[in-house]
Amino acid sequence: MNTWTGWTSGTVVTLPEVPEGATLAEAKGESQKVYEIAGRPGWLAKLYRQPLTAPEEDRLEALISLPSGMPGADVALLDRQTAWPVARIVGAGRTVGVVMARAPGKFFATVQKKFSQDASTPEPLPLDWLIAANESITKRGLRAPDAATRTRAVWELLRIGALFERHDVVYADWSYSNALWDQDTGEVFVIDMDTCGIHHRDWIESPGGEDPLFQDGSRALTTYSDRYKVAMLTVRCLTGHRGADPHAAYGRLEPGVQQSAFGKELERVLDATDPTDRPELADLLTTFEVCYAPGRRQAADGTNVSGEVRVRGRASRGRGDELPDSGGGHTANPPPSTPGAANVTGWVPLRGRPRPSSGAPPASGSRPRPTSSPGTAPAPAPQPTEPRAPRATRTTPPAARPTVSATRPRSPSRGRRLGRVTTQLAALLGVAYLIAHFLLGWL
Amino acid sequence: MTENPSSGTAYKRKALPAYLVLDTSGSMEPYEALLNKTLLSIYDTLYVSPQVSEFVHLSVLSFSTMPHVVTPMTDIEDLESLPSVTCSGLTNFGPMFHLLRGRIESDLLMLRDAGSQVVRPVVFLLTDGIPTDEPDDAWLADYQELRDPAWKPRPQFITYGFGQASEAVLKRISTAAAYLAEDASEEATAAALTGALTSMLNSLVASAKSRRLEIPQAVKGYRSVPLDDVEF
Repeated sequence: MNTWTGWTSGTVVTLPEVPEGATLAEAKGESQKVYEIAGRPGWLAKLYRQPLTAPEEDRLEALISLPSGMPGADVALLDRQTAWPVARIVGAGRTVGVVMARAPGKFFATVQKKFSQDASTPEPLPLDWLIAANESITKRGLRAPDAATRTRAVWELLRIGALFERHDVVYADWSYSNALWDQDTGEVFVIDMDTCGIHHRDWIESPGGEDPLFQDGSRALTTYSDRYKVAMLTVRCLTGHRGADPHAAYGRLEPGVQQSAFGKELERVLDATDPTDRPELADLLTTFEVCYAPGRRQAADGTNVSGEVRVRGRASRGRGDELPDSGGGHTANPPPSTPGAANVTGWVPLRGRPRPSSGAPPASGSRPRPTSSPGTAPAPAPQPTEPRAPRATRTTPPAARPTVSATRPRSPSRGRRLGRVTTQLAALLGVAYLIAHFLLGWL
Repeated sequence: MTENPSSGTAYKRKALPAYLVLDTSGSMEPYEALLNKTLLSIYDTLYVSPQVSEFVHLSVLSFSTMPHVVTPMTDIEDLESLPSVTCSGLTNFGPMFHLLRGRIESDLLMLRDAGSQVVRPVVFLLTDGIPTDEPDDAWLADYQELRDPAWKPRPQFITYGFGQASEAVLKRISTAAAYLAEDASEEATAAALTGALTSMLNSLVASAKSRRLEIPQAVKGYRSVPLDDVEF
């Protein structure tokens, strides 16, 4: 199921349009209740304790519409790996809840209990059970993650984090419980997206993930704090070490990884004394891909990570991109070969896209739906069609490295490149000869 | 790796020492099986929720004529089995408060030695009766020692009363919240006991998420007892 494009009922729905099915949670955090929408399998309604304020409402609406302006590959990633909010639920003129997708079944697992005879049922599998000692994991009846699983999980976290940063989405709530993982493949699914900010968001507690440069709550959180939190998850997922100080997990990385460009970038994020010195997540992703590429990757922690990066059969169920397979296994898509947004190969044409078959304009609250699949040919930059969904613009100081263009042209083949260089060189020599002969009279 | 960007408590893990204190006097005997079953479920919740168990450090105490440590404040990974409680005897509060102070002193030391940043302990007290200490107010001295303002780790109290529990006693002990079951009948008491333990568990789970004590807002089957001095 596509978790964003799969919703077809508009971006604003009323309570009667989201009838209550099974209750999943009550009185948790800012939510009064989370339930399955009856008759809409795979979709959840989350009702807030209090209706949203007007600014919160605007923020949520902008968030819901944001993917409309994203490149197709980004939408595809969101569709697979996030519970991006898809609609506001309104009651008495106020926003009282939000609709989002339920995590797919592969992100559920049964964690065995120890003391009681209570039946264990499949539950969402949080990163808690990736960032743990293998012994603790297996004691709960879960499979100890191997190197491939850990690497895959980190790659996906970095890709999602880099995507958020590209669009100035501040998630901030990067916690063990807000990202689920598939113990067969290491795929990751990020939940609780409805509280994300655009450009910034109010400070929130980050249990186990406190940012030393954003400690006191007086500073709004930005993508700079997200860089730290994602880096912290990265070292912890790679090593399985969840000590309070992420440097301890960093210390468990193989020396080769620490000394690689990826290790240095990680170090820069963790050690920066000024948030703006933290490198972008796109840089972390790029160096990660280089570090863990076939034949060049270094194993991370010896106790938890060993062997080659290999995408096993179930990892390549044809759902998406795969890390380069060093073991000759199948990869669904070519391995990323360009930095940063390597997977971004085109834009989704929104303006001028085909309307629904009725030919009528989208109803109020509906949003344009990307129709092209990832990898479509470059097209004009997307234009949000909803008045309240402006494209996010960066307000934070830009980092030294410019954002990778999603429309970056593909590199020509080596042979063509060589031919072009030879031609240019010959032309240059010709011009030089003419100048020297006719103008300067040297030859 | 260069010097860490911060020092002090930046990387210390917060820890909440939590004590579940169960009245296991003779009047609780009808609920003994239910009590033991619910205890197992509480520990299982900690077992399957690392985020909760790394913040909440739980110890269970019981009290009747004398108090007992049912489970010490142990790492959940090290717990191999849980003892079951039996209900008999009187409802002496004084010795329980005295034991509690000693346990808090040693547990806090252990948590600090392990590098944790310890927040104020919390006690969830469940009782179905009134103090049987002699003389009547003897327990107050032990309570005051436990709540001595000069003693920094003095715990917060959240109390649940059912059966024949006294509102005045709950009010006297509680510092954060007090709840009294609306129905004192035997049938209702079983549900009240489950409700209290569920409320405690929800409070601990919420506390683990926010890394500070979260007081239950409402408890099904209970009414909230207004407190004169809420310290929290």
